[in-house]
Amino acid sequence: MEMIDDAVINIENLVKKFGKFTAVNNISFKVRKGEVFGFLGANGAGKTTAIRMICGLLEPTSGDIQVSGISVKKSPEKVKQKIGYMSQKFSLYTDLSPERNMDFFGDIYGVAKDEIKKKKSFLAQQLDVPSLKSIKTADLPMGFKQRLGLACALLHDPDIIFLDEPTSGVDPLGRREFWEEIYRLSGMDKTIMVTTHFMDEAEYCDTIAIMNFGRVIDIASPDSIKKKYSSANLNDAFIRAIEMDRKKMEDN
Amino acid sequence: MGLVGIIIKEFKHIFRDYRTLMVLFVMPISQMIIFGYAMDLQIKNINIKITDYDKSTLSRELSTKIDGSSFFSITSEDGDLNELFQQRLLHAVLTIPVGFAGDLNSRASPEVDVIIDGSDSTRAVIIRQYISGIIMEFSSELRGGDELPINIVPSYAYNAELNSAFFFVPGLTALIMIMVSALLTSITIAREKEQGTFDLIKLSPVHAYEVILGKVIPYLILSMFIGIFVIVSGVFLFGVPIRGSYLTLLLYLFIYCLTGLSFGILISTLVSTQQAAMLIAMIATLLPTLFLSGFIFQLEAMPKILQIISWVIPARYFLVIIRGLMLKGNTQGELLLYTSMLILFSIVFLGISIRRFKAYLES
Amino acid sequence: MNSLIKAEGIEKKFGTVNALRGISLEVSEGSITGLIGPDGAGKSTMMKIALTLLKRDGGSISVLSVNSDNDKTFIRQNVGYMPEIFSLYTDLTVEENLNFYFTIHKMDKQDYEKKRERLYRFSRLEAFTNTKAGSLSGGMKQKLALSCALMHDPKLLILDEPTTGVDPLSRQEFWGMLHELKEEGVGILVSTPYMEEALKCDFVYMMNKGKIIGEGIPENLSEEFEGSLYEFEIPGRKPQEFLSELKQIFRGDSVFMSGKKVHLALRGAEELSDIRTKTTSLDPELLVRKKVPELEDIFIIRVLAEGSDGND
Repeated sequence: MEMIDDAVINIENLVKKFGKFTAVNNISFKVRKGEVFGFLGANGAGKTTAIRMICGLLEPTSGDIQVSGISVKKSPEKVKQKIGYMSQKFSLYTDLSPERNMDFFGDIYGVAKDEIKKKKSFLAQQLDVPSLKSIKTADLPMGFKQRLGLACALLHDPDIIFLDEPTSGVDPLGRREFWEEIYRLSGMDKTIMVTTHFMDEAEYCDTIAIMNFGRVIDIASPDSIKKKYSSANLNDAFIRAIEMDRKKMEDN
Repeated sequence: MGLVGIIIKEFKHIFRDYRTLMVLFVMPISQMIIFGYAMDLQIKNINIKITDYDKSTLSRELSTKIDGSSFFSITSEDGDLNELFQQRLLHAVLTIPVGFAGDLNSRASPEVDVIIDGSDSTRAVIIRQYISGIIMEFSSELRGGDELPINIVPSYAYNAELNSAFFFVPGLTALIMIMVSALLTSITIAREKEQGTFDLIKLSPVHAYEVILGKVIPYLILSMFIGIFVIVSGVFLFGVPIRGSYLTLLLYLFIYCLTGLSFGILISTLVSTQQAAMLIAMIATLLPTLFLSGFIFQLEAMPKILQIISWVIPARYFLVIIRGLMLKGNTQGELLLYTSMLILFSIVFLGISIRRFKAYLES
Repeated sequence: MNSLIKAEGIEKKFGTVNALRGISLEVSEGSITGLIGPDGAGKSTMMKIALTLLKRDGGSISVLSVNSDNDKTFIRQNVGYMPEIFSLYTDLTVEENLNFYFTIHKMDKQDYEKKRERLYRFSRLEAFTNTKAGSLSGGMKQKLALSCALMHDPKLLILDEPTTGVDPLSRQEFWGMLHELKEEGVGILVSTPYMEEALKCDFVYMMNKGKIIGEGIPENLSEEFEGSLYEFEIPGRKPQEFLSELKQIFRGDSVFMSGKKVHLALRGAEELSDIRTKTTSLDPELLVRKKVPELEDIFIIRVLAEGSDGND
């Protein structure tokens, strides 16, 4: 590996237990600056638990996470300032206009007024709408809502962005535009961590990690994962990876 | 078959959600204790000034009787009435005119003037009722139970002990039961609408009446338990008597719960979210019961229009029933009119609900 | 093959919004028919009209060979349905949910054991009999919902996005179940946002903004595709680095990223050599390939074509 360690997220021997149940079972990995990192796994494999720990929302049972060199365990509040979070269930106020939503989330993070203004006009320009004022967020097309959600998550200029199934329900065109935006952010050295059930989307990632039963069973580029499981696409590769892991567990 | 399935399922929902179940039993008890404490503060230490112009044996006896009650203390504060009221040194002034004893003896209407500090209207009403109660009792002792043409609320005439619990336990029972039962059914149906489970029921051969009865029967049993619990708590915590028949009380409680539950179902056919159901059920039961049932404010003293509105408040009828059964020892026959009204309400609510629900299931 | 749903020119308005604008479709016995399209395309609305849960504003539809205006009850009681949101009781166990749906379908009590056993064998939920439905994983919830929808042995199943938010492995298992049902002769209408699932259907309808913008047997759709698709790649370079240049060259056409590559979709046919000439100004390492379009590519091109035809 490289001598210079440019890891933005550094996870070491992370464990989370809920009673007798081990949700995250000793995982370790690094995420480079500017990387698009896909976090895949079956429902209940431990993805959400891992993400919640990285964001400082859940305390690990053991192990530690360094985000931009800061220990999440020691100063979770500092880490939160460096992280933006957006999910399919991202709680925008649907009865308010997009503009009000951005004002509100900007205020929460203490973003300067003119900075919010700049970001608002940038979003309006990106979405090719004259104003974000006169519409209710509820009436926006799904793809626009996701973009607004993303814009809100980016207001405080975080280094790392978590996207939890961000494109669920979005039309194919909207999804591709969304990924163009992700690539633009990655080009600006933002680190992106994304979970998705769309395997064609996982193709966009630089690296993907596959989780099963609380462990990371594979971590590599989409191409090498496909090669490893001799599959034409990631969907088949994913299924094979999980099936093989299950078999291995049953054999033991 | 479908009906039994729904009933069993509903009972499972009830017992699985033990937190809500606990709230349903704890809430009435805590309300009762809070009410009991608050009312206790209100009815004690009423400073009254008695100006006796008659100076007869009878007028002195009345003063003694007032003085003897635990709620009043007679003050001899002198000075400007306004000032005394404002400084809260005085809460009421009773003026016994010349000729009071003469009127009483000649069976004419005795007239006493009462001035009450009206700045706190609830308290003023209670003070008035206590004064009336004492005068009533005083005159009825004197005349051996004959009625007197004094404008006194009859129910308090039977609250001879002037116990505040006698006043709020029946009222609170009426309030809690209508609120809880309307909430129970309206929320459970709205929840199924919201979560889409009714779509699957729509696609089954289940009839509207089976769904409605399947919801009503389990909650009827649950609200009966809550109702009994509330009444028993009133009896044990505050010593409120049950002078009428227990069985009659149970029967009428049953009918009243049915009214509340059917009202809840009616609400649920009008809304599509739990939140809306909860809000409407609360507002539609709490406020009218509090203000227009005769619980706190005397219906007789209200403008005609409010009195007419009160005819459609189920709690108004139940209040007469429960006061009658707990305090007066009324018999079934004496309460027939009021019970019929509750039965009528239930039939109307259930009828409309089943029709509306049938239309909903078939839509 | 018998037709289970036959819809002709279905229209539906919600207020001023045209949710469905002349949808015609057919679902046959022993086949899987897919509705693909984004949220808001009108998939759920179409399904609810077929179920008689919504009234249509125009067009005609017969379900199970019955006119849906005449015998609503018959249709409702003979179709199996899985709504888009999980609509079982989360505080009841797997077994209790099954039992409840059995009782409301008013079937002979003696049949329950047999039915239960068959559904458990089919869904492999036996080990979770006493688990509350709310604690099941996404994939297992969907299997339970499917089992409940199958309670009364319907000949027609209508499944509204049954695999959304479900991981690929559970999705594959779920589709395995659908294929078993298909073999038994059940007709299935299913909607999905996942294009790879559309390939598992016998026939698909692509829906967008209340219209059908493409239909056919999935394999044939790419062959019948009237346009052409090209793929660009520059080894060692990120696609966003040359995306905008390509967009410049092919202004007016659809240029988008697809994984680590860039796709160009043209509505007409164009020779590969022409494309090469147009892109000579770019990196000499640029690789251009003609590609067989996938369903998603076809979908996007159709959407763009619709848009430029002036139909909102």
